[in-house]
Amino acid sequence: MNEKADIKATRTVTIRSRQGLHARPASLIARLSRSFDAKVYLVRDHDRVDATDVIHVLALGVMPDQVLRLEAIGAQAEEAADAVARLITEELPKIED
Amino acid sequence: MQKLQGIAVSPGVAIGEALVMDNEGFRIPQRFVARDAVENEIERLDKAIAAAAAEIARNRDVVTKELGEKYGAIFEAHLQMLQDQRLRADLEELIRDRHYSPEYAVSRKMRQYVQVFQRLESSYLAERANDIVDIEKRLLRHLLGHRRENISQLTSPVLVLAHNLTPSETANLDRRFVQGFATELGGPGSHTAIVAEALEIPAVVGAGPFLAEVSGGDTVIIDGDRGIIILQPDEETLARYRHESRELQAQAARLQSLRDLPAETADGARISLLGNIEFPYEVEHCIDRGADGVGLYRTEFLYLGSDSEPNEEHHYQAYRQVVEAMNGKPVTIRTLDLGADKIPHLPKPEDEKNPFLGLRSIRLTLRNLPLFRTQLRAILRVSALGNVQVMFPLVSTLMELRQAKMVLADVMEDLDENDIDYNRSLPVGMMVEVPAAVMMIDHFLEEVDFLSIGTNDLIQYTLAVDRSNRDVVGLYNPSDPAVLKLLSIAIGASVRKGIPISLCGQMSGSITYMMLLLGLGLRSFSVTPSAIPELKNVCRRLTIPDCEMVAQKAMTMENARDITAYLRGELKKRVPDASF
Repeated sequence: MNEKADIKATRTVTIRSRQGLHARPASLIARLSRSFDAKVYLVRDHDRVDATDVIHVLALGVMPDQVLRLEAIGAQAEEAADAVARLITEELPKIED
Repeated sequence: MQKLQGIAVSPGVAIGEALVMDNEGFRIPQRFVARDAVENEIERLDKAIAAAAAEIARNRDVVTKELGEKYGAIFEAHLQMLQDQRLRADLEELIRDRHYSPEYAVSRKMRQYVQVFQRLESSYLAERANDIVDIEKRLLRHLLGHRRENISQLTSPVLVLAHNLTPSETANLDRRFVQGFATELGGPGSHTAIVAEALEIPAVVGAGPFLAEVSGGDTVIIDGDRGIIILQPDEETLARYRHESRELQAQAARLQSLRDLPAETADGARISLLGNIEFPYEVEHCIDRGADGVGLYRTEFLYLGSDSEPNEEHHYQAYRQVVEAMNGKPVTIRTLDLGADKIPHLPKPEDEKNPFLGLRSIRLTLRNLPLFRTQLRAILRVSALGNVQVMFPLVSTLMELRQAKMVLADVMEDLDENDIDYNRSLPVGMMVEVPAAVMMIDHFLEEVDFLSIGTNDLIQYTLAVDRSNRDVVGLYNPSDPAVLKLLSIAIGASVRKGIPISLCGQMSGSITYMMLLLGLGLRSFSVTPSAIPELKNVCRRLTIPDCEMVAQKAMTMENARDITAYLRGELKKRVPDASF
């Protein structure tokens, strides 16, 4: 992974999953984030966690309708940010708990 | 140094190395590793993570295949959590910088996460704490490997610290090396308490959460006299306790010299000092102390130790061992005295909101006749070998006593038909431990050969106090005048009728009550065997008229605290070296 600060992408997403960011959504986000040549972070207020660190994502305790900022840094920052944003806003709400 | 207050359930002081078991029976190991072992330990951690991950991936694949992706997803989530790089980095830091053992690092770190999760607003997310606990267990299992199970293979003396010891855990402990127990849960009647008493080692239960503060190998003090557990004691405390421990040993040796002297008062009244036992091997403790017999042989261990119901032969062999060892001295066997909720091979009662007021003891056995008959057959058979008595627990109505006696008569007929030998005049008695039984004592006395007062339950039912409940345990007091009144009624009625009565609760093992009980007319005390020498020492220095005077005065007093103080003060005047 190339974490040179040369490319950085940010997105703002609203969590729509019925139970917030629980184990299954968090693990899907982590898996997807790993597949890019970029580091993806989830930011809420002053908390910033690596999207692949599932325990820490869960520990954010993100509830439905809360707003998160996505930050991606690295060669594929744009692609990663787009893909993770799409996962969160479009795919996750479809998952039945 | 950290001092915890729990409930003292078995006397004595133990100082030694901690063996810490968590709430699933895991042994929590050493806290620290040597500096030069750090690299190896980190490698061990990585191997454990890899092994745990492979195991989870296998589970995921199997579950996904059999139940569908939705169910496999939880394992996928666990796998992702386990591969959390920050977790790995944090663990490495704890091992590298603080020299924590990988096991201890995992325990500490995971516990932190659990706390974070439990504080989350969303209850759904807070429940993910269970996932963390699950991952912790899995990692620990891989880290500890075969070392997890070796509680039965101890090589040096330890003090066992646990959340709550189960019968199967204590059954696996190597008794030779266990020198004390301390548990977070449990009350005076708990399994831990009974086993500790049987092993004659100090124990403190119900101390509240403390396992997170201690790790295997730490020095710990268990003070079973005061109910105190001391973690990481300082030098001064250690020295004080070592001194005390030596004193106790010296005192025990002095009392042992009384072994072959009769238990009688200074004015010649013969007192019967009997032993309470749970396990067959404890009969040796009775013999060592010169006990006059076994006043209470609890039989619950037969039902708790294994997953299947004990058969007649199991009962018979356990009883035979004790009856033969006592060699003609009386052995009182009590039939099953447990709640249905505690017995593994019986169906769980559906509506058991108050187990102590529910389906237990004689009520349970009268409803499970095959189980009851099996036990009675074994007791009858063993009655041919020595001086055996049978006793029914928790009798609260005459009907129950009569029903139990009918079952016994029925089993006798069976034995007759099969020409099996037994004692036809086997003495039949009952425990007096429900206030209703005291109220009806004159009627019961018409139908029993002997009585034994179980003060632990009698106090609990009279004062409506659960002594394992920390909030109300202060209300549980043997000196309560209401309790003394019931004792006085029961003992007085038995003495007048000439029916033998003994007292087998913890109250009888405490020298505080000896003058009172002798004064009320009691002549038979059934106690934990280790208490016999001290009771003998005290009774040999008392006279009956003096005790009667003290009892009379105590019976006029209105509150428990005054009564205890009075009884101790009077005893101290006559036996200046008595310690409480």
